[in-house]
Amino acid sequence: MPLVTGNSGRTPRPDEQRGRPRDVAGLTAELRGADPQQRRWAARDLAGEAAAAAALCDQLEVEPEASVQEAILTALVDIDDESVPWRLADLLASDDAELRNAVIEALGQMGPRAEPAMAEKLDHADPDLRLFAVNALHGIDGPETRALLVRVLREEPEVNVCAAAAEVLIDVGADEALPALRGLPGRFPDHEFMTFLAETAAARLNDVG
Amino acid sequence: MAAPALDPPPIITAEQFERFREFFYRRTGIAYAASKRAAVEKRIAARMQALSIDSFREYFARVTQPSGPELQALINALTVNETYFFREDYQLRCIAASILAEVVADRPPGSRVRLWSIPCSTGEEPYSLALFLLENWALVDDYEVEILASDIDSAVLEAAQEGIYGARSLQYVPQPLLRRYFRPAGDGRFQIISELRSSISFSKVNVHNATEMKRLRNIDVILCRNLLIYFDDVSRRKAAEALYDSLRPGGFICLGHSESMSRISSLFRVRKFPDAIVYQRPPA
Repeated sequence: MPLVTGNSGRTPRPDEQRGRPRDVAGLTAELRGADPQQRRWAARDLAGEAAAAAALCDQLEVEPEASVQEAILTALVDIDDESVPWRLADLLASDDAELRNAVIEALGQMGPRAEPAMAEKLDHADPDLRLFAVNALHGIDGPETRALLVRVLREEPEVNVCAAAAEVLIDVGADEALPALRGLPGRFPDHEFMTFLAETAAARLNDVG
Repeated sequence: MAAPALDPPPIITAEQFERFREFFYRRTGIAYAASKRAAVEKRIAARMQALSIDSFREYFARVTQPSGPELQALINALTVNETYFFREDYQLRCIAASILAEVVADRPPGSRVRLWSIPCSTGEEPYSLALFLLENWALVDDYEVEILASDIDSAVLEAAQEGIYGARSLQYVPQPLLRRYFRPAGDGRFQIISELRSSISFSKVNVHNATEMKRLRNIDVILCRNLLIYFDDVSRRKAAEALYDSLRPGGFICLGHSESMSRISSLFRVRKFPDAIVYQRPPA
C-alpha cells in the first residue's frame, strides 16, 4: 500500500524551528526583519500581546507583503488596546486599496472598541474616509453605531456616503432609521437611487406608514 | 387538584453562561450565540450529572482547571460529529483528478505528498480520502502518500482509530470497496482493514492552539469541511491564518460546500477546477 505515516529519521526543516520560545522583544525585532516568512511568524506569535501593539502598527504602515499585513491585522484584532483602532483608522487614507479593505474588515471585527475612531472619521473632510468609516461601522455594530449612521443620513453632503450608511442600516434592520431613510429622496432629488433605497428600506423594515 | 408542573430552575444564570461562553470561546474559538444556550446547558447538565456535581460554580471550576480533563470531556460533548463515507465526493474527485497533478508537477517520483483531514470526526473522511486515492489516483504508486487526520474531540479520534462503522456511515461505499477494505465486525458493522487503519496518523488538534498547530507544516492538501462554520468572524480569521501556515506554498484547502474562504481571508487564491472550487496558498 503506497500510504506512509510519520516523519521518522527526518531532520527538522528550518521553518519548523519556530517552535522555540520567543519573547516579545525578540519577536518585535523579527517583525522588522528582511524575511517576509519570519515577519509573518513574528506577527502570528505576537497575537494578543498588548505590549507589541505599537510595533505591529508601525510595521503595518511599511509592510509590503499582503500575507504579513494580514497576520499583523489578525494579531491586532486580538489586542484589546484602545490605541489600536486609532492607529488603524489612519491607514484608511492609504493608497494601497487592498490594505485599506483589510483594515476596514479588521476594524469591523474589533467591534465596539473601534467605534470612537470611526465616529471621528465620519467628520473628516475627505468623503472617501467618511465612506470607509461607514463601511467599518457595518461590522462594528456598537452602542452608538445606528445613531451615528442616522446622523450621516441627515447631515452628510455626499450621496455615496449616505447611500452606504442607508445600506448598512437596512441590512441591520434599524427600524429607528426609517424617518431619516424616508428623507433621502428629498435630500438628493437628482439621484433616483435614493428613492429606490427609501422604498427598499420601507419594504425591509416593515414600514406600514 | 394537582399543582401545575413547573420547569426545573435553570442550572446556570445568565451571568454564569456569559462567563462560560467567553471562556469556551477563548479556548476553542467556538462562539455560542444566546439562542444556543438551552442546547449548551443540556450538555453541561449531562456532564455535571456524570460527575455528580450539583452546582455550576463547582463544575466551572473543574472545567477551567489548568490541564484538567473536564474541558476536553465538555468539548467532546458539545461538538457535533455526524458524517459518512464519501460525503461531498466531488472534492475527492477534484483532488485525484486535478489538485494532485499540480502538487506533484515539479516533484520526482518517490517524493512525499501530505494530505490532512481536519476535523476528521470518527474517521470517515480520511479513510474515504485514502480509499479514493488508492482506487482513483493514477500516480498513487509513484509517490509516498501521507494522510494525517485531526480533531479537537479525543473520543471521536479513538473511534476513528478503531475504524468500525455501521450501515449509515457506509451507505455510499460500493460493495467492491467494502469487500476489499473492510472486514465484518458483527451486528452488521464493518471494520477498516488494519493495514489501512495504521496508514493514517490521527492526532488531537485545536486549530486555535498555536503549539498544536506548529506540528502541522508543509501540507499539500487540507480537507477542512464544516469546521469554520462553528466560529465567529474573528475566530475564522485566526483559523484561516493557522491553516495558511500549515500549507506548503502552492498547497490547497478544500472547504465545505456552503463555506467560502473569500469571505474570511484574502490570503488564499480561488481555484476553479472541473469538479470543485477550492482555495490555494499562493506559490512561493
